[in-house]
Amino acid sequence: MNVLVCIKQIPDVGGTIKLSDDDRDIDSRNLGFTISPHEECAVEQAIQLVKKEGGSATVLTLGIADSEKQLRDSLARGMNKGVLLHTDNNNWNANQTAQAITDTIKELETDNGIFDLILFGSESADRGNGQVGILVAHALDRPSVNGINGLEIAGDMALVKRDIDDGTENYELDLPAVFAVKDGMNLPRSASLRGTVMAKKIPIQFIDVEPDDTGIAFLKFERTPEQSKQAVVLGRGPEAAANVVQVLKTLELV
Amino acid sequence: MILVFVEHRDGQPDIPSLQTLSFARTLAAQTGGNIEAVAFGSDSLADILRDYGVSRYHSITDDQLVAYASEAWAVSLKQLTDSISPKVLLAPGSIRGNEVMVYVGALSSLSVVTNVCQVNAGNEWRITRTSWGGGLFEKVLIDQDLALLTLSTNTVEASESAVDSCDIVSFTPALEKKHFRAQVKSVERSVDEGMSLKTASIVIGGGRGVGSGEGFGVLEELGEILKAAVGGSRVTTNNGWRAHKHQIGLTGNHISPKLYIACGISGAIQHMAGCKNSENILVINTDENAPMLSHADYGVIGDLHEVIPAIIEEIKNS
Repeated sequence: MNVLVCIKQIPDVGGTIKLSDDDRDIDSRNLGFTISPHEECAVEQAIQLVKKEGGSATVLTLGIADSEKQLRDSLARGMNKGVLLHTDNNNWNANQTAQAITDTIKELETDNGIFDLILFGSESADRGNGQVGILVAHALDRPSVNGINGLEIAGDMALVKRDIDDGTENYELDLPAVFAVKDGMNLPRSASLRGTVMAKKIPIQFIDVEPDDTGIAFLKFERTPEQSKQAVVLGRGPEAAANVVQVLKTLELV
Repeated sequence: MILVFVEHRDGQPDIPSLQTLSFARTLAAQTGGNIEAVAFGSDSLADILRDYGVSRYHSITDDQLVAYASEAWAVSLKQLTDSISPKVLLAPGSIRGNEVMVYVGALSSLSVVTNVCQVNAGNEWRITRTSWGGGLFEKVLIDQDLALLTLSTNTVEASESAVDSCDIVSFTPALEKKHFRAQVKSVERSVDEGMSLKTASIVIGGGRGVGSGEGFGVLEELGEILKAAVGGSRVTTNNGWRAHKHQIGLTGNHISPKLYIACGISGAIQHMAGCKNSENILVINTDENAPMLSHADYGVIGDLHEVIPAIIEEIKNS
């Protein structure tokens, strides 16, 4: 079984988001970087599947050169191969991203055979468009389900569960297929020290990419209405308990 | 004309769809034209759609389309839009709504803007969408003959505004077998679990400061006394201290209780995405500089393992 997982580097923003001077980017000068929780689960799923079924697990990202760190982290967890679609520009939209990823998948599949499974995170933790997986599936003419909560492989079939508002949908699809994975499908492992050392030796394939023109243009980010509040401090330590109960009474909750 | 994709269960549109119809009316006030709607598998929607301002209902009742199939539904919507040429196709930003619309975009070689909260329709359309789990807005410009948009849930309230009548027009799409590659085989309806994070009036959340799975015991105890649901931040579900279904945050439950008691939670933006609709927030944290406090109404500076037992004692004594 050959599995491809697509991930995206995002700044680890913590409690507040600072914008760059032109409002077109996150001011990430003092921040670390990570990937979306959904994508961590996609990586974990690929590692588990390949361990069970054999084959190889490839991790791919589109981003600046520094995104190599997120590829290395996935390799350290147990992915086998890494591909970096390299660009200097972080403001790619979903259509542009999907086009570059589709072109690359076609090339990789010509050389190494098809990916039985292509996994994405359900939506990126930054823009949250939730589009790239579906667009890639459509371009490759493969079935897809977005935002899945369960995945089992049975021969040439994928048995998939997806939670909707009032229940859980069950699907049975033929492979090859494309899925976007939701956080909670598994418990992602951390990279081991040995894995981290081994991952440094795995060559990463660099491919330079440029965005195509599309009918949509990103203008800028804008802050949501200021939600910052000044909390009333009810006290310090256990002595605050009486004031807490007073608040519960005021809110008519006890 | 604005065409709205409506989702329903047994002929009753869901809340996000009614919100989408309400949003469509404000959009129609800018663009002119009437509002039409399309849905799958129900002939009985016209009355309620009329109450929400829809003057024509395109009903697709093909038997093979009753069970949800993303591509088949999208192909149907594409064929309908090709035949009636709306200026906008608008859908609720639900799991299915977003999925179907992205497929419609792919089939039409058009861009889709998901999770929209505001539209300024001029020569160019300036659209505001939610980004970073609602932590930021993102402004985009689209230049297409057909705008494909999904509406961020809870952007507007669902409100009625009836028109005189709503015609029903039946539409029959031309479909192929391959459009049913991803079709729902069955749906398990969720059972009411009683005290759920989404419905409880008090929710207690634990974070890194809880320290362990056992550490949740004191939160559970307070939860029982207050009849509150207990959840955790992603740190606690990732460490296995708490099941994922109890996660509060961007990638877990989105809660809106009367009071949210956040214990040992620093307040990362991803957590706030799940709890920002709480009416009141009480924070218990050892760090008086925790970002969570700047989103809270009340704070107690202290160790939750000391503060919560004192609160339990105080409630028992009062």
